[in-house]
Amino acid sequence: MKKLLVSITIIACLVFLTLTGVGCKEETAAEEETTVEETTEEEAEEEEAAEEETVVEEELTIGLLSMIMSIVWEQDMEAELKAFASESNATILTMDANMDPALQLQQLDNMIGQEVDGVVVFIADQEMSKAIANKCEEADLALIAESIRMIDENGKLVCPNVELDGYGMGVICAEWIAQYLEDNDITDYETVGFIDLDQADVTNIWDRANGVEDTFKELVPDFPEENFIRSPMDREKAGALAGFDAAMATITAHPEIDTWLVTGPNDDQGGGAVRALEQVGLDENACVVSMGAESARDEWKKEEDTCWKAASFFSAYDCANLVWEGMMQILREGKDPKDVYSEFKEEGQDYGLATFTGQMVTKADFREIMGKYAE
Amino acid sequence: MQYIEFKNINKTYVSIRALKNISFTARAGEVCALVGENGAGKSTLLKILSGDIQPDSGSIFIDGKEKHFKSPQEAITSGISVIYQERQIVPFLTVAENVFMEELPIKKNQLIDFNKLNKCTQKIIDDFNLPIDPTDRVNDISVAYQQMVEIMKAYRRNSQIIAFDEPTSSLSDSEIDMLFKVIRKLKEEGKVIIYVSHRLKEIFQISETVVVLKDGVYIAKVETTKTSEQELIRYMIGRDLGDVFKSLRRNKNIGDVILEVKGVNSDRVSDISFKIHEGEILGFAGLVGAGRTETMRAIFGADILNSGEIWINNKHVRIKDPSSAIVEGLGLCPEDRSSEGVIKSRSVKENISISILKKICRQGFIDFKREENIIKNEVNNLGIKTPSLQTEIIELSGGNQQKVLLARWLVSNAKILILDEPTRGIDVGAKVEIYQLILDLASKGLGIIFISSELSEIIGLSDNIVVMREGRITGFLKGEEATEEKILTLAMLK
Amino acid sequence: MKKIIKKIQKNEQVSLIIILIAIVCVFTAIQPNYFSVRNLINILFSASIVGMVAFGETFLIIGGQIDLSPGAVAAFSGVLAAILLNAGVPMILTIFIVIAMAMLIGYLISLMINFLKMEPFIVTLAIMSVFTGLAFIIGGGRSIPITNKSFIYFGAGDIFGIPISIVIFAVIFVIFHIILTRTRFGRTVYMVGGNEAASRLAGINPKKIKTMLYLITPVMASIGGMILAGRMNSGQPTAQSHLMFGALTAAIVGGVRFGGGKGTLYGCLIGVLLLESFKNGIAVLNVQTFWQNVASGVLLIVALSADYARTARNK
Repeated sequence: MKKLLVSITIIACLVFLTLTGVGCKEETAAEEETTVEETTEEEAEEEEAAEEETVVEEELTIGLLSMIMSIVWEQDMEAELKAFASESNATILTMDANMDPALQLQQLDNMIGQEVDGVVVFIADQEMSKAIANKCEEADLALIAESIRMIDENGKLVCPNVELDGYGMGVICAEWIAQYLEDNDITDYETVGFIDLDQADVTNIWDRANGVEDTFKELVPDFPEENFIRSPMDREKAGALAGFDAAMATITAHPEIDTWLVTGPNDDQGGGAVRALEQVGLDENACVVSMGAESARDEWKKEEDTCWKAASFFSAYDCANLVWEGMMQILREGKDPKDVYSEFKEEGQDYGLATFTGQMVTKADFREIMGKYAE
Repeated sequence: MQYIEFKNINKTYVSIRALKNISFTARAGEVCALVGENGAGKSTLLKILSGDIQPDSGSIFIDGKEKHFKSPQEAITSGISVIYQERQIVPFLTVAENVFMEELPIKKNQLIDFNKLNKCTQKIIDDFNLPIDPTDRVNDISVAYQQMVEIMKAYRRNSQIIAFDEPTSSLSDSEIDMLFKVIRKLKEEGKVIIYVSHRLKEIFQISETVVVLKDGVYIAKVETTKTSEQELIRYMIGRDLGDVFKSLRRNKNIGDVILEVKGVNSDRVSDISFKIHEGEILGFAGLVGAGRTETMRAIFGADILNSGEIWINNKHVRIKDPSSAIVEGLGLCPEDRSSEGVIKSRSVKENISISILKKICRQGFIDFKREENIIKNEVNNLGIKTPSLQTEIIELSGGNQQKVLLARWLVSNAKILILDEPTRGIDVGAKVEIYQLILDLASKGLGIIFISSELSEIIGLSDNIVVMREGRITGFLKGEEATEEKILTLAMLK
Repeated sequence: MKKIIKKIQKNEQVSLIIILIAIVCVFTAIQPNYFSVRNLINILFSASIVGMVAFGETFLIIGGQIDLSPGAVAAFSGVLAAILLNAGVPMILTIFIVIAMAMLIGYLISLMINFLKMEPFIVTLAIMSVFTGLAFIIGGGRSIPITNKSFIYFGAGDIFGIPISIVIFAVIFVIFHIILTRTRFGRTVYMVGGNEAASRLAGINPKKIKTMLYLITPVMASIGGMILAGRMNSGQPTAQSHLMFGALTAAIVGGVRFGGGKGTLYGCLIGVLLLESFKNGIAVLNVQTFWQNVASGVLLIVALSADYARTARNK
C-alpha cells in the first residue's frame, strides 16, 4: 500500500516537472511563433502588392525534414522558410524526426506520398545521406541539405548543401579585431596578448579558431608570435565556465600583458572570457569578440560599458535564404541540381556546398542588424 | 599409487610467519584431516595447494614430481580441487552449468549442447546418488547441495586431490552424513582427500590420519584410530580440555519470566510460543533451516511479524523494527557475523557504541569521553584482546569479534540476548571463553536465547532446550534430561 | 628516519599531500606565474564549486550510496535562478526556492531508492538525464542573462580579496567536517555505509539516513550552480558534467572507499585541491584538451597506486 502511494507520488511529481517544463517551452515557442507570424504577415502584405505584377506561378509544397524541432535553430529555420514560401506562392510542410533516423526515412516516404515538390533536410544520421538522396531521385524531388552535409561513403556530396562556414566566421572576427587595433592606434604590441579560445576535439570550434589564427597573423604580421595564444578549453566544463577557466589560466600565465584581445568560438565562451577579464580588472583595455551574438546582445542591453566589443551574427535567415535560392533555381528555373551553388563547387565534387558566415555586430548596431533576433 | 607430499613449505606475510617448514605426505585412499586452531596455518596451506598464493620456499610433489603452481588454473590442471567455505559457484546458473563451468560441451555450430550437458551431469548425480536435477538453479537448492555441486565439479574434472575447507560449518547433522558418504566414495575411488575442520568429532568419523598444525608449525601426524579427542586438543592448544562444560561456573538462580512469546507467525515460522526467565539460558536446537534464525529475526523486528504477541516483563510490547526491540531491552548477535554483525571497515569502539549512540550524544554531538569510558570498561570486563579501541574490527580474531558484538549489547543494557550460532568459526580455546562469558551473563540475570547447531554446546550450556523443525516448535527439554539422541529425534522425525 | 617513514605510512593522506606539493613544484618550475596569489585564488575558486559537490558525494559514498546527478542539477539550478530573478523574484527568495527545489529532487531520489528499492546508480542516472533536459527546456535552450547585482556579487564578489564562494566553501567544509566526525548523524553514515544490514540490526534506521544523505548533494549542486550562474552573469543550460566527474574523482583520490564505510572530509578536500591544481596547471601551460584528459586519467591512476602501495606496505 505504502509502496503504491510512494510510486504514485513520484510519478505525479515527475509528470508535474515535465509538464511545467513543456509548458515553459511551449510558451516560448508560442511567443516566437506569434512574432514570426506578425512579421510574415507584414511582409506578406508588402509582397502582395508586388505579387500582383508578376505572373502567378504554380503553387509549390516544400517539405522540411527536421532532425529535432526542439532546438531553437530548427524553429527559426522553419519560420524563415515559411516567410520565403509565402513570398513565392509555396507552403512548407514540416516533419520532426526527433533524432530518429528510421523515422526520418518514413517521413520522407510520407512526404513523397503527399506529392511535395522538394525537400529541405537536416539529416538525423549522416550515414543515411545516400538513402535519402536515392529516394528523392526516384520520386523526382528537389533536395537540399542544411546544417549537416549529406555525403556518400567517399565523402562526396550527394545533393546541394548549405552550411555555416566556421572557418569563415573566424576570418571575419579576426578582420574586425585587426581593424579595432588600427582604429584605436594600438601599435606597440609588447603588452598586447591575443587569446584564441579553442577546443581541439570539437571540429567546428577548431575550424573557427583556425580561421581566427590564420587571418589575424596574416593581417597583423608584426604581432609577436609568443603573444598569440591558443587557449584550450576543458570540454567537461560547459559554456561560459569553459571560456572563463581557459581565459583565466592564460591571463594568469601572462601577467606582463595589459591589453587582451579575445575571440570566443561560441557566444557563451566569449562571455566567460569577459567575466574572467572583469575578475582580474583588465576589462578596460580588453576587446572580446565572440561568434553567435545570442548572449552578446543581452550584455549590450545593459547600461554599463563592456569589453565584449563585437560578435559575428548569423541566423536561420542566412541559411534559409541560400536554401530557398537553390530550391527556387531548381523548381522554378529548372536548373540542374548539380549547377546550383556552382560558385561554391569544389574540385571533384558533383554538387555545390554553399556556406554563410554572417556579419559583425556591435553594441551600437546590433538592434538594427539583428532585427527580431535582437530580442 | 597417488600421493601428495608437502616439503619444507615456508610462507611469511609482512610480519607474521604463517608457515614454518611444513612437511607431510597424504596418500591415495586416505582422508587426511588437517586440524589446528584459527591462525594455525591451515588456510594458508590450502591456498598454497590451490595456487592462490605461492610459498616463499619449499615445494609440493605429486607422485614424486615437483610442482610450483603460479595460479589456481595450474593447480586445477595438475588435478587439484579445493572446496572452500565460501562456495565458488554461480547462483543463477543451473547445477549442470556449474558442474561443467569451464568445459561446457559444445555442438558443431558452437552452441552449448544442453542435452549432452544435462545427461553427463545426471550421470555424475547418479554416481553420488543425490536427489537433485541437472536443471535446478543453484540458488534454489540448499546449502548442502550447493556444496555437492562443487564436489561434483571436482569429480568431473577428475581431480586426484580434493581438499575440503570446513565443509560442514553450515550443514546439519543429516547433511553431514550425506557429505561423508560422498567423501568415502571419493576415497574408495583412490582420490587423495585433505579435510580441514574444527570439529574433532567429525574427524574421528571420516579420517584415517590427522595432521596437527599449531602457529604455523607442523606438530604431529597421527593415525586416527590410535588417538583421542583429548590428545588432539592437547596437540592443538597445549592443554587438556577435559570435559569442557563440567569445568564452567554455572548460574543457579533462575528468576521471573522476562520474555514471553505467544503464537508468533511470520512468513517462515508458525505458531511459536515460549518463555524465558531471568538468568536462564534457553537453547534452540534444530537442523539448519528449521526456522530458529527466522524466529529470532521476527521477534527482533528484523523480519515482518504477521501475528502473535511479545511480552516483556509481563507487558505487551509492539516491536516494529530492530530499533524498537533494542529500546525494549533485546539484543541480537546474528548468525552470519561477517555480513550482518560486524561493521568491518570500522573500529572496535564504533562497533560497540553503535547501539548506544543516542545515549552518548548531546544535542546530536557525540560525547567522546563518555563513549571512551563506557567502552573501555566493557572491553576490559569481557577481556577483548585488541591493540586499541581504534583498531578495525576485522583485524581481530573471530572470538574477539564475537565478544565485541556481545559488548555492543552489554553497553546498551540489554536484558534479553539472542545469540545465533555465537561459536561458529571460532577456535576451541576461544569457544571455552565464550561459553564462560555466556554463563556469566546469565548469572547477572540476563535471559539468553542460545542457538547452536552443535548439540554438545546446546546440551552443555542450556538450562532448557527448545527444538524446532520446519518452522515449528516440536519439543521442550530440560537441560539435565537432554541427550543428543532425544534432540535429534525431535529435530528430524515427524 | 624510520620513524618518520612509518608515520608517513600511517597517515592516510600524506602520499596525496606529497603528490600535491610535487604538482605545485613542477608547474611552478615550468611556469612561475602558476604560484601567484591570483592563480592560487583561481584554483581555490574552481575547487570551491567542485568541492561543495565533492563533500556531498563524500557523505553519500561513505554511506554506501552514489549520486550522478549533481552536474545536471547545478545547470538546472543556475537556469532556474536566472529565470526567477528575471521575473522579479528577490534574490533571497530565489536562493530559497532553488534550494527547496534541490531538496525536493533529493527527496524524490531517496523515495525511489528506499521504497521502490531501485539502484542508486540507475535512479540518479535517470534524474541526471531528466534535469539535463529540463535545464534546456525551462530556458528555451539559451543561456539566460542575469542582471541582479547582488546575485552577481554572490558569485563573483569577494570579501577582503577572497571570493565569496571560497568563503562559503570553507564554512561548508568546517560544518560538514564537524557533522561527519562529531555528530550522531555522521557516525551513523559510516555505520550504514560499512554494513547496512548490521547497522539495521544494531538499531539504526538506514532509510532515514539515506533520505538525509540524498538531500545533501542536490543542495550542494544547486549552491554551486547558483554561484556559477552569478559569476558568469547568466544561467547556463549545459550540464556541468565536470562537477559530477570531478567530485567523484576527488572523493576517491582523497581516500573515500568506494562501497562505503570509510573516508574523511579532509581527504576529499585534499583530493579536490590535488585535482584542481593539476587541471589548472595544465590549463596555465596551455596543453591541448585531449592531453588534459589523458593527464587527468594518469593522475588518478598515480594517486590511487601511491595509496595502494602505502596500504599494501602497512599490511
